[in-house]
Amino acid sequence: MAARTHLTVILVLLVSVTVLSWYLGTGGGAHPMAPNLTISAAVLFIALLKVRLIMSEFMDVGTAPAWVRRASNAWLVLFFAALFMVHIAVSGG
Amino acid sequence: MTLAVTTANGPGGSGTETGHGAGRPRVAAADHGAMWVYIVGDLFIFGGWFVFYLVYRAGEHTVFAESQAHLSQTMGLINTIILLVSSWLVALCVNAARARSYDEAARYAWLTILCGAVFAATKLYEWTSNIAEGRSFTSNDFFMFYYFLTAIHLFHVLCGFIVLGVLVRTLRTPALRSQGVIENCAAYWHMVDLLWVVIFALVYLLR
Repeated sequence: MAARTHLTVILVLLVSVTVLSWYLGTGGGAHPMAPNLTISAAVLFIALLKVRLIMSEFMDVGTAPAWVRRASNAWLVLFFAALFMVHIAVSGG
Repeated sequence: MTLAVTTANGPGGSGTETGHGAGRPRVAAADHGAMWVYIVGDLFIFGGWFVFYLVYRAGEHTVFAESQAHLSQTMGLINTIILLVSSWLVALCVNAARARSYDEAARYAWLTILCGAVFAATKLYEWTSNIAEGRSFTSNDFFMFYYFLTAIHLFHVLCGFIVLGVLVRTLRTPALRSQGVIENCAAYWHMVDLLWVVIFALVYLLR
């Protein structure tokens, strides 16, 4: 029962931040697609948080071999850093 | 692949317990082996495509922003919630299997398949709506990426139906039951969910 409650709490958190991300990205469904670096950074950060939660709480990556933990952490750092930098370069240009 | 079932609190079980289902038979994620190789490889391949997407977006920012406005962000939100719920269901399935509640686990697996089917149906509806309004793969670079990324992802969802079919069969057939197979199938479906989370952020929401 404790595990089920834990997983459900994680789901509620994931859905909550997803709705927040949608609200930020669309301005509450109004589709204002004007470039906005702050909102884009928040959307990317929320995606990063969700991926991390899915990996650690649903996939049990924490119990995986060391190379898997290193590779998944490297993926998170490498690609989200690249995504942030490319997007900042575009929006700041 | 042979996977050993361990008991988290039992001999040899040290280092495998995560707090979920402590004391129950389980397979350490360390035993997933080949499935982890596939998942990590797929993550890096998709990661490369995600970076390519943003580089192209950098070169054609106006086209991408205008094209993105034609997508239904609300449909993207619904798709995301469906996959998050499916990921939760498959995690509950694994949890039930660890407790040897195989009938309950099979019910969760079927509900996961149902979520996957709803996701695929909404994705096909979204595609046909866009195509009917003249936005196809060849319209511009944004829609090339949109169809490419969502199609490759949908292909993973369709493969996921096979994987989840194996999961149901494993749960329903006592002679075939293997906690390792069960957890491998679940890990694949979590990867499908995880990739969609990034696609939703990049293609639907980024401004």
